[in-house]
Amino acid sequence: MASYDEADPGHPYSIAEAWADRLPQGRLVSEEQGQSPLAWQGGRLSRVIADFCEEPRSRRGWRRALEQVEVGHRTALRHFMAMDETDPVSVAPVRGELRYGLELARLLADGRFNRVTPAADPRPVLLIPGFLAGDVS
Amino acid sequence: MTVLAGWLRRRGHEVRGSGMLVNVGCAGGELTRLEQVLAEFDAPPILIGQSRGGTLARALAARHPQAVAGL
Repeated sequence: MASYDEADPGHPYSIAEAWADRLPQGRLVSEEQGQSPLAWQGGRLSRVIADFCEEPRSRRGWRRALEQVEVGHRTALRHFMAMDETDPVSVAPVRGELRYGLELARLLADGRFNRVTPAADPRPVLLIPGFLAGDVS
Repeated sequence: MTVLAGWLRRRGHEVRGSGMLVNVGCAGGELTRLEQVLAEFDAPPILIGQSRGGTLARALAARHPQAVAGL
């Protein structure tokens, strides 16, 4: 499943093409360029998957396809496990979010925050909020 | 965002918001809206995005590299 989604440049279209080339039973599917990503369209995506599954395929072909999926999963799992060993990530407890008010008060009271030095070359700035947030957050 | 905007203004920056009440729209639609905001700047701005805003900022810069001063 490939996508032309420009908002997700971390997963380029070429990666999906490379996977499709390497999987003997693989096939590349995608939306038309400029359309909403197929991966986001649940109903249409389900039909694509159902059509693929209904295609006549030998038992051997199915076994090979499943083996390829398993190899892909194992490779991904090894990749993530290796990442975990070399770059362990500590996950903060969710209750830490409750410190928001205290952290904001501490920031606003901090002398370093309030002693503002005018920028030498103050360029204009566009602020873009995160998911579920807005300009007034 | 408001705290950051206030701090940047005190530093002398011209600061504009994205115009988003809540960042929940489809990425394509949000990017179109941001392109309109970007066109209102007299000089290429620096884009600062938080979380999904960072992803949108990166896509906006990829579409209009000449209109963005930095990320």
